[in-house]
Amino acid sequence: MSNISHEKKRNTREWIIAGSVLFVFLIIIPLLSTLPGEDSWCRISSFRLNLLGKFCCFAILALGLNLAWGYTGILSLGQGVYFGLGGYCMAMYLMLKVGASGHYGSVLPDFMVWNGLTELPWFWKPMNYAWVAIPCVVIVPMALAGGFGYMLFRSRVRGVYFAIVTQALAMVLAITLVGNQPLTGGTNGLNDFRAIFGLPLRGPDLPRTEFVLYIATIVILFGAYMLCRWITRSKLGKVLVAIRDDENRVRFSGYDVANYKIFIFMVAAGLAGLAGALFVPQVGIIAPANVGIVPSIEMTLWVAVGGRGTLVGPVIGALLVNAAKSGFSESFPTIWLYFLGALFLGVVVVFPKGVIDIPNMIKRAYRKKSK
Amino acid sequence: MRLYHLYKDKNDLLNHSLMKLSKKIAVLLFVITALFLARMDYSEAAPNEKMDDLLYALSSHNKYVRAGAAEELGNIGDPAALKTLDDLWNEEMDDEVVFAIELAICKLQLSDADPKVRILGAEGLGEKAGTRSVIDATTSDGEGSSLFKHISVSDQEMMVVIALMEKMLAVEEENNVKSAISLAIEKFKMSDGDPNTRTEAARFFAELKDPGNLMYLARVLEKEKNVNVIAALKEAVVEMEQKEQMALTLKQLFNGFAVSSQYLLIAIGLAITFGVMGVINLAHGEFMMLGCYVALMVQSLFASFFSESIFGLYFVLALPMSFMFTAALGYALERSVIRFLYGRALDTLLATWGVSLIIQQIVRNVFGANNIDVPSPGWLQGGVTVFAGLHLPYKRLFIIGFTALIIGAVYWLFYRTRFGLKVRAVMQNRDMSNCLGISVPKVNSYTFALGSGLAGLAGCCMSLLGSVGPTTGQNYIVDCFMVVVLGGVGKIIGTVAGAFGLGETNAILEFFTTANVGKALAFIMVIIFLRFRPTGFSAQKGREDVRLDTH
Repeated sequence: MSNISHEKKRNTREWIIAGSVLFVFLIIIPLLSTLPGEDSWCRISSFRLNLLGKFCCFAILALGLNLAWGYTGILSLGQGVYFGLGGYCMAMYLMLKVGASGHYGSVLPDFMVWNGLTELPWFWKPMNYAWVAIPCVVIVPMALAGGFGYMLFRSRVRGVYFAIVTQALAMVLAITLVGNQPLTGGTNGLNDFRAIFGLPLRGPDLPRTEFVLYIATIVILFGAYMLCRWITRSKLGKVLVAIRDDENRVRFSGYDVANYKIFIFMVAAGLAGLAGALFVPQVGIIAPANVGIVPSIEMTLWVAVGGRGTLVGPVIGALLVNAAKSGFSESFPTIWLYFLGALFLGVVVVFPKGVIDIPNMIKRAYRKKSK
Repeated sequence: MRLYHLYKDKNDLLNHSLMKLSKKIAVLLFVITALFLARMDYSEAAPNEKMDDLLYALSSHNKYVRAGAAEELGNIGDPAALKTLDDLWNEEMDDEVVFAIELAICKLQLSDADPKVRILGAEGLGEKAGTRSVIDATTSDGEGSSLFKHISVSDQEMMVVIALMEKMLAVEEENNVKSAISLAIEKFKMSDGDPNTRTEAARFFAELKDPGNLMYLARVLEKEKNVNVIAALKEAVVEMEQKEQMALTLKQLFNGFAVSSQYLLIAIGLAITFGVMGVINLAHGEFMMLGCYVALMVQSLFASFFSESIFGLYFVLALPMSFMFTAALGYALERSVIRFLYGRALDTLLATWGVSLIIQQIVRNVFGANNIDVPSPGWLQGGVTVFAGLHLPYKRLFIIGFTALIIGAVYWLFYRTRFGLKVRAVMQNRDMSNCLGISVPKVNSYTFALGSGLAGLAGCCMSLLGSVGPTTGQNYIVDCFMVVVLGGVGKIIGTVAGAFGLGETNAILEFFTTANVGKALAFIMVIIFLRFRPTGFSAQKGREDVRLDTH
């Protein structure tokens, strides 16, 4: 009886926290950004708002990665692949919407004209339609993750091996994107979009679009959070944690471990794709540099810094690491890599449970002292 | 082409014929004078004086006199004239004279003391013959041939040149020079007026089977009119194409082999740290890169403190230096970070990635962000030509040999020494080894140092292949992990199989597609392979899944 009431109490507390956080991100920050006066200290410039929106995209990805890594023990070093696929789907749609108003006045995107293409490649054609492109943002990454997971989880490739193979996949995608410049835009990626659903992505009205995109990102982030919360609280979530802790025991208990893994890996991929799609209009470019091995490993850092296996941790981690990154690389670009390296080392050696565990660490240290 | 435009007008053509006539008269006059002068002199120094006259004539304002003098100089065959002709060649503007000088140079080179120069001369003559046959065959086109005639070897000259070359061939001792001269002779014969001679020449090319002549023959074939000669030429082309195909295939296989041994050299250290210790060292590539920089530093040390003559030996010192430097660094890394992370393989991955970022940034701050070229030692430059079209560079051969040596050494260390026994014991069962009195921490740190040292050694070797930059290591790391995963963990032979499997697959796929697609396809094939053999080619049975647990 008391257990249930305790649970209820915790639930209400959590709702209050979630509600107030949402209030801050959805009402306060947007309101601050609309304040008049360029140099007022409490005004959030549209540049900062856009940055925050970008970080929230990363937070969506981190939520998904955390489901796979933190809860199920599948480390993917190739999450950039799914992020990239989602982003490229979205970018292709936006690119085609530019239409004949491009630099060369052709229906084809500029880089294709420049590369001597005369006809749209087959996989670009369906991206003309929003009702194909938008679902593709989630479906394409999920399909790839499903196929990839089916191949490897079925044959019980796991742990370190799986991580390395996902890394290879990230390399394959980066190589393919760079190597097929006429089809994918090569190293430059896809950029120079004009508008999204009628909202301009350049010119004086850009801040208004950024504002809308920010709100959309926050709403989707919240939705993703609720999805993760629901999954981890369900019986399914319990099985996932059990797989993480002892895969063989779960298998011997009669569960089909591979299916659970494939499912959660696909969910993670879908969230990454969604993040990529939201990233593209806010940043204005997607390139192989966003999807390769280096960014993919950085993604795991967000989760590790925030706290693996907790729901809020990855979100905090993604926001913190990226805020630190943009802060450092703005003021001390050379020091940033030292800091990043130290962060990797520190989070593993000093805070293996992430920043979310710091209050507990302090509490434990305090208790030890008082004893 | 320039000439063609010059004379495309009919008037010009007339002028040209007149000029040709005047040239002949000038040459005639000149030769008469020269002969007269020569006859007047009975002394020993006669050829010398004649040469002086010719050299004097070379500075004449009349280009025909100059050309004639150059021609005569070539026929005299005094090597002393070579230098003068070389200088003149640089200054001369007129095509006709340039041609005469070139021809004379080639002839003179043919009797040089240095076999390399002799080959150069023969090759030069061969080229002239090539132009001749292409122009000769265009005679029917009318204008084209007559326009180029003045810069191609005339029939009389050809007889002289062939006679000269045959004389040289008889006294020549070096095989290389012999074949170069006979090639040039056959090229001249290929431009002969008599179809039978041409057919014979074509047969010669068919027997030679050097794919290097393919382009030349294709050009000749285009212009040839005689049916018999065409048949013989086609035969020769087919023979050559077969040979070229073979050379290309062998070359690709060799390249695959060379790339595989590079993979193996880098991956062997990784196989030790990853396979034996369960540590995923993403800084392995950076250790390799540091090995490159150590080689670079030893090199600049040699360049500034020692004489030129022993500069090539820097590499011999760089090898142990790079090994020791990275081994020490690896030891320090194991003692300070890795030892806290045993049993948390994925955490070692993140931590070593952090280390790799820091190392990269340090290198960037110290050496700069740009790639630096590392000149390789003189004794590793050049290569061995197995047959025409298949050339194996010494550097690649060295890396293959060195890799074999390292694999042998590692095998010996692991299976024939007490240290290896301890390492294998710890690998199989950490706790039991500890109970039996093996100092597990010690074994671990030495093993990690060994793996890192091998990375440095590999980096030192990679510095032979070109430049080095802060991100050199990162370019190799994924390939090397794929090699280890493909090979299976815990056995050296597995890594060898993995390296050659990936390297050759990559080379073959690259052959049929492009470098990028080849690599992507090779990786996809590895992923598919793992679906059927998740533990790679060979895998240690037993407790690895306990060690390589996810967290």
